[in-house]
Amino acid sequence: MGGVIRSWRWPVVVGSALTIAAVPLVLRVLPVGGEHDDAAALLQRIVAARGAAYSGYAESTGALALPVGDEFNDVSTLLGGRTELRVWWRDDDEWRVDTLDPGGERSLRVSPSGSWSWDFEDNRATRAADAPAGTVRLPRADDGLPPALAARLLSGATDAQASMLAARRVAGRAADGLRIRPQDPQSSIDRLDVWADRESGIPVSVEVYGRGESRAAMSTTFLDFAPGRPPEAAISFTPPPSARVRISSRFDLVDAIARFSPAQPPDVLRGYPRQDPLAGTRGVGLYGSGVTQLAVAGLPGRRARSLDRQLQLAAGSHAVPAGTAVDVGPLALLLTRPDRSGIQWLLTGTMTPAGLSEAADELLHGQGAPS
Amino acid sequence: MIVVELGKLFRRRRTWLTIALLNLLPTIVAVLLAVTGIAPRPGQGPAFLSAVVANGSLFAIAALAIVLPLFLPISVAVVAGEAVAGESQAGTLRYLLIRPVGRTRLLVAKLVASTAYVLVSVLTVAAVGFVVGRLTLGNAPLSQSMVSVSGTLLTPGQIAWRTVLAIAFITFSMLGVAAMALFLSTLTDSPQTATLGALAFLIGSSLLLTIDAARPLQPYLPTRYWLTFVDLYRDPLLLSGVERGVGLQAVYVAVLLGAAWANFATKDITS
Amino acid sequence: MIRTEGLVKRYGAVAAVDGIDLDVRPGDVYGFLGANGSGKTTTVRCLLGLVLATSGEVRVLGQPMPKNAASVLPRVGALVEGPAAYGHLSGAANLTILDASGPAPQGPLGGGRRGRRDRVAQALSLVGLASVGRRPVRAYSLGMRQRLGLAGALLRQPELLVLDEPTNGLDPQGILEVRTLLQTLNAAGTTVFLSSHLLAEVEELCTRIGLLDRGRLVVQEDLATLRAPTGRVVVRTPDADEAHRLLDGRVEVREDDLLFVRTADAAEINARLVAAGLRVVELGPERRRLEDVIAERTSARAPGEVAR
Repeated sequence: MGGVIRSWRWPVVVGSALTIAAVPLVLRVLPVGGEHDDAAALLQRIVAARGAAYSGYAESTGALALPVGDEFNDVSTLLGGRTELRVWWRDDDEWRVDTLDPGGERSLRVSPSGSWSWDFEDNRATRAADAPAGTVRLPRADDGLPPALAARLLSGATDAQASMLAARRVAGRAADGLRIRPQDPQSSIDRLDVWADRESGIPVSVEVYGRGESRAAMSTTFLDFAPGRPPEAAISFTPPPSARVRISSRFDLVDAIARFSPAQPPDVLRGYPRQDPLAGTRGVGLYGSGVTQLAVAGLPGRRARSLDRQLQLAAGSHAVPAGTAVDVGPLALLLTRPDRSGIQWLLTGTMTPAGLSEAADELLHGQGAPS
Repeated sequence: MIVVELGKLFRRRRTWLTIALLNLLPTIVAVLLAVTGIAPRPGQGPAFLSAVVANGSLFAIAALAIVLPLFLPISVAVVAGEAVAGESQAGTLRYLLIRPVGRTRLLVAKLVASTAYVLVSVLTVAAVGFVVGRLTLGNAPLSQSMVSVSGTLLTPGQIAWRTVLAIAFITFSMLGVAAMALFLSTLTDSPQTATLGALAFLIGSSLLLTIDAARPLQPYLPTRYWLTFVDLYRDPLLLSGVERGVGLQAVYVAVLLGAAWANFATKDITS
Repeated sequence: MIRTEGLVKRYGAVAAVDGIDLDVRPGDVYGFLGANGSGKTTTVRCLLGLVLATSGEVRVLGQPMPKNAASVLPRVGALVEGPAAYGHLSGAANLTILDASGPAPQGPLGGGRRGRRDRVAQALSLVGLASVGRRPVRAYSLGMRQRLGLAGALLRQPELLVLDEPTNGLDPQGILEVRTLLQTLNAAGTTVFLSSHLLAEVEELCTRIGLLDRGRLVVQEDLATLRAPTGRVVVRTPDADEAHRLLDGRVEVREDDLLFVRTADAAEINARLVAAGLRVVELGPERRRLEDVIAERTSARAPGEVAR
């Protein structure tokens, strides 16, 4: 009698617990179905959706531990940690991205008239005339959004590199998957998986894999997503009366290098033409496109020596003939030894270590194109 | 039975002593802030603490953020861990059950009493924080708007209902702790064991949250969404984290109470 | 009132209770005897639904337990393995909580929720705790706690009282009071199930005996039957030798000045002894003592062996 009473309760409880736990799994595994595009058409749709309006809540995760100090805190969090982002994107000139912290928020609101950045914990609002497109800058929170990351890495992708992936549910919406395998032997990126919202074609989830790695070096996914133009009120900003308001002097490291760099990078490097020879930032050169990107800057001696010390202490740093190299997943960094004029070149990008070494040799020995 | 349990809990001096101790820490913090005027550096210390120096009314929320990670769960675990194991240890459990009080009914009454304790302690911390904040940290007029986390202004009405939501959310988050302690309380005859077991569970969860390797596990950890009550002070309101937190807590509460019920309903009472 | 059939309770491989068939009839004062660890308390817990039997059936007040606990237990008062109370509250407050916890008794005699104060006061005065006031139970003596436990059992004027060692910790005066109380209640119609290891207590009070030995019920009999005359007469006389000769052939045992005589008629023996001029100090039918029954029926325990 007792045995009978005893028997039924635990199975009921365990059964319901398993059912509850299984619901999200089932929802995720449940086939989405209805894939109608082929890879080329999907790539076309993704490219066509560039600049489309949307709003949402995304989580980006980077597995790249950058060997940098506090001054690059935001960059190293973006590439090496988890960032929670809220975004309202009306168009490429008018948007707002909030980086959420457990106890605060850093918000960047951009409109054609300029930008406001807001830091809750500092109680500080900073006004800046936004950098014109194409200007070299450090990666920012909004670069981690799926549409932005996809746009950057998919430029130059061809139909031949694309193949279809199984559709998925992202933020509860059907999303078609596309895999890009770059054929570029110099790229350190093995493949790029993009899921685009079926309704709007906007990329909603992006995963970047380095060569020989099974874990994504960087992944970013919307947890909530809605296509369509968000209201302007979400973006407009008036500094609260109690806040400290500053006008940005835009003095940062990259800016300093760009302006005061002792040398100009060549117009062509490793066969890639320089992207922005005419923009105001003469000191930094950007090369390549899509999954193969390379940034080059010449550093004056003192600055370079302190960076060199920092790099040599970093995990994974090793000496190469051209200087000191650090590989952080698919991202490689190389600081050359001084060239004939005493300048040390800093190279970084999504290139294989070999490719980066060759680029460094080219800079040191001035093979390649004239500068 | 529920009335009886509530009476037992709130007529007990120890209950009020716990609540008083719970309020002690935020009060000390408020006094120190007022005396020194040194707010913690941004990004460090509990949420909102850097903002309260300007507006003392905000200390209601800051006080909750101060007690939320440790003090509040401890006091909840103590009270809920007592629930069944305490009666069992004192021997009164057998007399209640032969009164008779149905075992499920007793469990429900204990749950309601624990919930009431959570609610009363959270409300007390918020109320004491509000009063202490206004007394020590400057009493800006109540009609003054508050700067949201996103840098926009919230009207007093918005602050009020968002704070109500935050209190509800924190209360609900604590129910997970209460359910865990209650479940352990049906397993053991020692209230201390139940309390410490529930705390070990929470500390384990908090620890895993700081480890990157545990990331796939993190969305399922009970303490994962506790601090998302800050989201209620963003503008526009961000509910997704709060919704996920409520869902997760609901699952924990349901499963743990189910386990407590399955265990207690057929347990041999030998104490 | 209580009936069990093949009641078994196992803890792991050990059977604490091993096939008990209890039969307690209305109006009984049933003495449930057994050494420490013989399974008394486990049996009592099974009766009250605190412990679920491994197998077997339990019926209390004619209804199956623990299935019908909700309708059976309000009519049962119990004291299980010592009293228990909230130490920080007074005795009256404890009883009030206990009373409020269960369903309110209905009907003209029940008094419902409003009668709570009266019920508590009445129960306290029944056990002699009417005048302790608001002192917290923490400050009670062991005997007072025992009385409070009894008061809790009596709170609802139960039809059946299940008492586990009710006189534990009481002084002789208290024991007497409790005994009188139980006799009064029994006379008023309450059935009493008394579990105890004190022979004297059971012998004084009970009308029926159940003897438990290592989880098995070895005796279940009316006390009167157990102690029925044995068909012998005991004679104590200083002139034992003469008496032995006089009653020759009928004396079965002689222990110094005690003679055990096989006869149905004690008066006849007396008349013969007196007629012969022998002095008789004591004369009467022989009755078995409970102690002897127990020694006879329970398996001998090896010296130093502890109960299971």
